[in-house]
Amino acid sequence: QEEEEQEADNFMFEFSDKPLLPSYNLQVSVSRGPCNWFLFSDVLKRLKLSSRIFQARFPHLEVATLPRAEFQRQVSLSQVLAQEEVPASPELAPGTAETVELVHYEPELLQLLGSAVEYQAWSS
Amino acid sequence: PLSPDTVGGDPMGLPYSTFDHSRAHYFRYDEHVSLCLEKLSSSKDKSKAVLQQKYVRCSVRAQIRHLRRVLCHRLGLPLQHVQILFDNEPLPDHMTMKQLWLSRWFGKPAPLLLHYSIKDKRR
Repeated sequence: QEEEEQEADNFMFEFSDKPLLPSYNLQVSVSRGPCNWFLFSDVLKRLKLSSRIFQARFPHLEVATLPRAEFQRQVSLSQVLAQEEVPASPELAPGTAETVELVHYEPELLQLLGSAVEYQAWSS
Repeated sequence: PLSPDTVGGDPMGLPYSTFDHSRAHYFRYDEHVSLCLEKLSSSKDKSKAVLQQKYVRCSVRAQIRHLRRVLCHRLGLPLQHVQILFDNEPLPDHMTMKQLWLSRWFGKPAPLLLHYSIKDKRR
């Protein structure tokens, strides 16, 4: 039954008592449509975990990498993100990462972050 | 040496991954909006129900009626008793989050501030 709920096309509502980490609607590969992601660094900071420990403990949670310029290009196209919210490009210091790491927005991760998830059918 | 997956070129230089295109239109892949739901208290409101988890995220295609339903479910209240307002104005049930955002909150930072009011059962 849980699987049915996962497979059905329902609205998902996330509820939290803390301000939400920003999520971004991104296409990370041409072979795949846009979907939602968190910045991996935001998630690690909130969970107080290192990348290594996170990936060892939750190997099934998908992590992806996107060139930073491509991330900024896609995010700047959003109509519901204010420009001051777009993470700024860091100073072009030597050694600055040219990619951003992302982690896929999904119910299990939301629960780890302390959010509650509720579904609502479109037709209800 | 190119693998078949990279023939034709991925302009972003990104790895191939499997994606079920038959589900690409699903709500779960929609862009999100972030909301903050504050209770509008009036002297007539006898209800003690307050949403503890007031930060809410959902699809841009969700409508006010869907938000009202989840809110009522969380507060344990019947649907007719909860109203959702922006700037003291009750919002229509069929308004989508995207319409709400573009008409009332364009260019402003998240979260969008909404209020809800609870009617007294005896009225």
